[in-house]
Amino acid sequence: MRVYLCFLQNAFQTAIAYRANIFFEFVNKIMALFIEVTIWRALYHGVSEVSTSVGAVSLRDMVTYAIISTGLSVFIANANISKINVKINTGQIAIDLIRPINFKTYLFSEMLGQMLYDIFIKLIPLTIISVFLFGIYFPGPLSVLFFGISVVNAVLLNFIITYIIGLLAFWYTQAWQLDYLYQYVIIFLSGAWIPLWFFPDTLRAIIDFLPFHLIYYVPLTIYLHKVSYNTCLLLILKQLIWLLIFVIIEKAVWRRAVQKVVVQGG
Amino acid sequence: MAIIEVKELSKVFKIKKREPGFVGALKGLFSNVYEEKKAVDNISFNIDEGEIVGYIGPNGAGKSTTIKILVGILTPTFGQVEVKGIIPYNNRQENARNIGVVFGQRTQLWWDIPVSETLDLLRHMYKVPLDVYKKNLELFTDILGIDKFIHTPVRQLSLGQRMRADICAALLHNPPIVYLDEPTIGLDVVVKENIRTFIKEINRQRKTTVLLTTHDVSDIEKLCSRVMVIDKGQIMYDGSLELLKREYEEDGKMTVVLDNPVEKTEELEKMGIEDLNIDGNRIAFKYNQKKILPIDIINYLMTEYKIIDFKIEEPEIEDVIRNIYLKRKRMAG
Repeated sequence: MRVYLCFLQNAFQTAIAYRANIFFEFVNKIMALFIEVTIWRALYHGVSEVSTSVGAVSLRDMVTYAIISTGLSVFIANANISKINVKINTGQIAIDLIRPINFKTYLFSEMLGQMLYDIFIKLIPLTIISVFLFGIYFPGPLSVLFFGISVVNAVLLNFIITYIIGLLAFWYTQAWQLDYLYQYVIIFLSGAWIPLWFFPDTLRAIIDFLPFHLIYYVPLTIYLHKVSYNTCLLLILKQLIWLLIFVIIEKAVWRRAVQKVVVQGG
Repeated sequence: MAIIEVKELSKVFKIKKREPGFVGALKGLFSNVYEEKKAVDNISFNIDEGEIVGYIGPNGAGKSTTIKILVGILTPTFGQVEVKGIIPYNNRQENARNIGVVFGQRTQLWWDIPVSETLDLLRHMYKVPLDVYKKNLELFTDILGIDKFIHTPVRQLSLGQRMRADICAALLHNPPIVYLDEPTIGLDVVVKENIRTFIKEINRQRKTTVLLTTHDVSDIEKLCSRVMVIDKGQIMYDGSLELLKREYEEDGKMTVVLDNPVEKTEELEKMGIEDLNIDGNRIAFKYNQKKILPIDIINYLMTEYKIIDFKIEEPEIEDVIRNIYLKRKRMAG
């Protein structure tokens, strides 16, 4: 157990060691957020509310959606796919596999270390600045609690999905295309940019069957209190069921992946 | 008692067949023709506790594949492997606790953090008791001098320092079995010597079993009691280095620098030297080790000239393997 704490700490230290990036990442996020907010303001010009499948949605809701969504993206996104891909392509995977550690737990600890860094160094300042710049909606305490739980589940879900996609590099050594594909899937099907309540009914029905909306859309609707508390619990249950499904898939994929190891070179 | 047992081991890789050129690349998109390559072809051997075994052969002979199966990161196509009673590829993590591994070509240290922190991390990973950890650090400092760079981030280390740190990292948890895959590649003589002393000392103190692959014959000469030669996936020789050399390397090479240019060569040729090459007062030649002793050649030269310098060249592993081939061919034909 202690060793995974060390991995976490190392990942945090490594992130800090490359701190030259921080400033630009920060400016990027603020810029993107500014553009999003500007677009929503333009779309809402002369309209106070839009009626949707989840009821009336105001401009303040949309600005809050954009801010929280950007905030979540700061730490929910992880580097699993490219990381596993690099490990397999360089043969570094051999080093990871000759150690008495669990590969998945190891990557998970590193992700947590990176996440801690993202939360302290990026998320907190970003949130403070956005609240002052754009204004934000604050929900009641119960919504905040459900939101918190759903965010934890979202992090776990995104971890296990990217981990499984990363493992595909054992068969398909150029998994970076899958990385791009997944990023587009997330942008479009998870509700990270455009809330699903603006989507046509048929598309929404399809998306409902997929797990991706559980990563961004679900925590966001819970935060904005667009669903009842009962529905909140149901959505959290749905996240847990999908997590379980992915854990089972992961076990099967991993068993085949290690049989398939072809360490490049050396 | 055998600590490593390998029985009728084979590993076959499937490689997608590719035709050359642009058209070939296009064809490759639609075809699924695989070529089978036998990296390891039905090999068997046992290694006893406390042995230091040299595992040699040309590039692509199957050395690394064997080691990867032994450490548990490759699954064999056929055959059985047991390391300390464990099947490595079925119990990768359990096997990992018994072994230390150094891949000379890549590091197992964390690139961005100091060596000391990597060692501390490994201490937790292998659950090394604190007193053992401290004792080992002392040993590493005494023989390998790691105290001089222990607080430096790995990316700033020289190759020699990195390799020494890598060896410390592999041996920190006192593993009963150590696999060293080219541990001296690209290092200078002093560091090489350091590393050899260290391996010898560990082997003496802890009865550590060592399997070593290398291209450097002096690694083998200074360390190994036994040599296995592998080529094209098959073991061609398994025995002592002395026997291997006597058996297969008959030609010694000698270069001598004399005070005067060499004029008459009849006497030397009569002694049985070959491929004589004269360049002013420097002569180079081969001699058959079974028929003539180098000391006799030197004695003769000393009667005629003053010897300024001389060098006897060690046979290269590649030469030895080539000779094995020639000899087998001669026997077959």
